[in-house]
Amino acid sequence: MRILLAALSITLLAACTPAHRIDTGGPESITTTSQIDIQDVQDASASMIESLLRSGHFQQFAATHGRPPILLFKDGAIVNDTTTRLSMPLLTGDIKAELVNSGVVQLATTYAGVSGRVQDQDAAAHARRQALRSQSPEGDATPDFSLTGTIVEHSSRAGNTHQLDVQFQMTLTNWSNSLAQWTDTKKVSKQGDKPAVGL
Amino acid sequence: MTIRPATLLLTLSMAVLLPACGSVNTTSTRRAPAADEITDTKLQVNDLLTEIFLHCRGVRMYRSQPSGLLEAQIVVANDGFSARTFGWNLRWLDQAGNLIASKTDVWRATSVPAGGTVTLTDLAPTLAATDFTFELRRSDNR
Repeated sequence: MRILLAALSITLLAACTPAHRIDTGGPESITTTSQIDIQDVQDASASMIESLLRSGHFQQFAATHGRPPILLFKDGAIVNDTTTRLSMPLLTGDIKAELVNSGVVQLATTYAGVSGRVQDQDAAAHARRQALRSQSPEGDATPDFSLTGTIVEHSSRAGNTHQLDVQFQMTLTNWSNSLAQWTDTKKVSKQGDKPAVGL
Repeated sequence: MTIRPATLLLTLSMAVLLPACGSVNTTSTRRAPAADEITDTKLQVNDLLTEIFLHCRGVRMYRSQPSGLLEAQIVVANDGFSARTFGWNLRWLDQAGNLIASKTDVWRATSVPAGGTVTLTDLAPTLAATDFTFELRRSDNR
């Protein structure tokens, strides 16, 4: 009897999955149909980066003006109209990092705008002091472009099967003419009756 | 002419089952490979795809305009009788063969219906990209 219990315990323990680290957004991530997963966010941000670079607007601006454009991209510029509580830097962080670090754009971190909130308050205060001292608007990093967007979802069900369709949409506005110069959408659809590990 | 009940039953079963497969009939006007198709890469990608019962119809790499960045296109066909879902990741390499780190280096899930094709596209993150590696993974859930 004891041997049987011991064997049963070993079998049950072996069936458990102890906590372990995985590649973020990789093939071992959990896929759900009840909410937006990290893979969906990574897929969307990668698609948006590619679409923005493919459009060539930033590269054309740099060729014309002799400097990379200044981009205003605030985390609050993306409206999350879904049931998932999503921290927006999960989406915007990768886009900012790729565009800024590759030198394609310069990010405006001291521009207040209508919200009055700047990303870097110390740098903004320094820029204001510099502008007052020099009596010139130099240092005023007025953006050339701004990025805004929305995330929406549609949920449907057939019997036990649940389907979640999510759409990420982003728009690039050119501040010289206040017109949208680029816009794109990325749709992600997931279907199933329970969460699972895998793509 | 007489039809045996067994034959009739089999025919009816086939008629009921075949539409349920949801296969796609695909045709293409292209009869020859594209001028800039990369033959060696196509063969390598095919080796990878046949393991999950898919095959590569073509691989192209060209400069996307107006950005000037390299773009890869891989056409995947499913000749099977059921839809297949797979994960893929395309990583770009520079002239020296070193990996170019990018936030676009993510696993993406794609489905290809039975009898259908799907074109996977990926844009190089920088002008330094000259080549790519392609990774494929069968979906565990489908």
